[in-house]
Amino acid sequence: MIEDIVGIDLGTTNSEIAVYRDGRPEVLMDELGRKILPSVVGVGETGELLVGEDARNQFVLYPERTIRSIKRQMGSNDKVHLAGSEYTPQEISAIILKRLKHIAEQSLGRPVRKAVITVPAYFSDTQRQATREAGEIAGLEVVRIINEPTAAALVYEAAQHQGKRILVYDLGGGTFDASVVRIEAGVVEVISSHGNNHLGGDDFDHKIVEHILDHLKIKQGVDVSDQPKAMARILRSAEAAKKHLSDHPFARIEEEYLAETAGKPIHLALELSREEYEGMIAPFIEETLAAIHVALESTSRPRSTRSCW
Amino acid sequence: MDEAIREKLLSRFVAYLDGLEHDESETVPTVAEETREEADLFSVFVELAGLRSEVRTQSRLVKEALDQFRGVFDTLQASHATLEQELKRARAEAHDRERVLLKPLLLDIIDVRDRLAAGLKPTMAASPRWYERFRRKTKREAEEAWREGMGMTLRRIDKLLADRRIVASEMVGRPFDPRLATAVATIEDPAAADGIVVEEVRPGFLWQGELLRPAEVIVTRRHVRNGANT
Repeated sequence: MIEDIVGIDLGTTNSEIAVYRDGRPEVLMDELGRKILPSVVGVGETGELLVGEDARNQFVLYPERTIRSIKRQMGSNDKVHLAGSEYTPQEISAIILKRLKHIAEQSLGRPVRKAVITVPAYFSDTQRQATREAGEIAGLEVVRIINEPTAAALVYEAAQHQGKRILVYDLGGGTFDASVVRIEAGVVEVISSHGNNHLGGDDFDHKIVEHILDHLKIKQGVDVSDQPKAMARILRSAEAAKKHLSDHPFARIEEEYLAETAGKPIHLALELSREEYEGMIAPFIEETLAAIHVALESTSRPRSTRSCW
Repeated sequence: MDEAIREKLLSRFVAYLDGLEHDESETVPTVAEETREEADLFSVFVELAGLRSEVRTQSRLVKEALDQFRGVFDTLQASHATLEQELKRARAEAHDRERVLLKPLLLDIIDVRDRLAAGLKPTMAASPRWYERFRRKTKREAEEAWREGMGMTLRRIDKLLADRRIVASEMVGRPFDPRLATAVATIEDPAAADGIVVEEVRPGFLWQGELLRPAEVIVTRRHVRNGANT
């Protein structure tokens, strides 16, 4: 029997584990049907180790006992303090990888030993080595470290045999990367990459949230920004509206009984057009387009001159 | 002597002699008869040897048949175990698939329930205001009827969820559990213990004992500490 080799997207915000089945990659789910594991590690009130959503859930309460975005520190000599102990970034990443390994083993019903882990194209050799070490600490044989845009190109263009260049536009929850990938004679190579580590879909959501808060101030004369209950509902609505606008010209944002003022309930009801939304996020889009230009121009320059924001 | 008596006695004597001869032939075997008997014993031994050989052959066949039967039995047992395992896995997969398919729908129902509950909460909590005293009685009664109807709908939804073993996780007053709730805000309270849930911003739900939706809660902190690891 051929041994499974899992593919791991060890992300800054979220991570995933997948297996190649029936000619396509399949992201594996945990016991609660979740495909995404937040890249967060924490120690609970009673000293138990928390990984993923559980760790993220306690971040507001115990930020000093919760670690997020460890990927940004990979390859550095920084020590991370967690509940009175010191850890290297590799050790924290290993905890996330171990959890992903467990998810895969539960889902597949057999042990998982080998993995391919993706890293950003701009990762240095030291950062790649740190990622490999994290995999080994987690009990995985890291058979390959591949660039994230390479992985994307392999999925979308695996059937292509003729030589071509592909632009990979990777807009995540909190980071953005534009890369040019060359596929030739079965060899996939990232020839340039550029991005912003602090730009992602969350920024788009916050633009809609700001718009809603302004609407409530103007139309209803209320400011709910200090009400956690109302803000949580507005954020969820904003995210849903963003998704709806991906393939619709308008989105209705409605939240009944959002808050209360002088005994009177406040309802939120507004329509957001895609045009308005595009206007809000235009500066972000401009930024990504500029990154694409830099990536495209870099293809003609030596690799060492390429940079990342 | 009378001729008739004489004849009668002679015939009786002849009959006696005949009977005597017959008895002697039965008790004393002749040489030929002894030879035949020996020949019969030999054939019996031959037959016995043949029979023994046949029994051995049959025993071997029975043993082979038993071995084959044992093999078939073992194969059947293994197949049965594999089938049981496959059935168990298929059932688990069907259960998981059902949960994956049903989950979004249940979350949508819970979302509608949240909104209905939010609508009822302020009206229920609001104390009668001074101007309400001047309202016409019929209007107040109509409002009360609306509220009552909404409350009934809310209870119906709760029952519908409870029938499917979906229950609220009830976090208020309990220590914060990151497996069941997300902390969305903290309240500084030097007198309180750390990490006690004081308010549910959004209730959480369990489905057959498993987490369906985490609660969003506000939790106490004795003092706000800095040093987030982000």
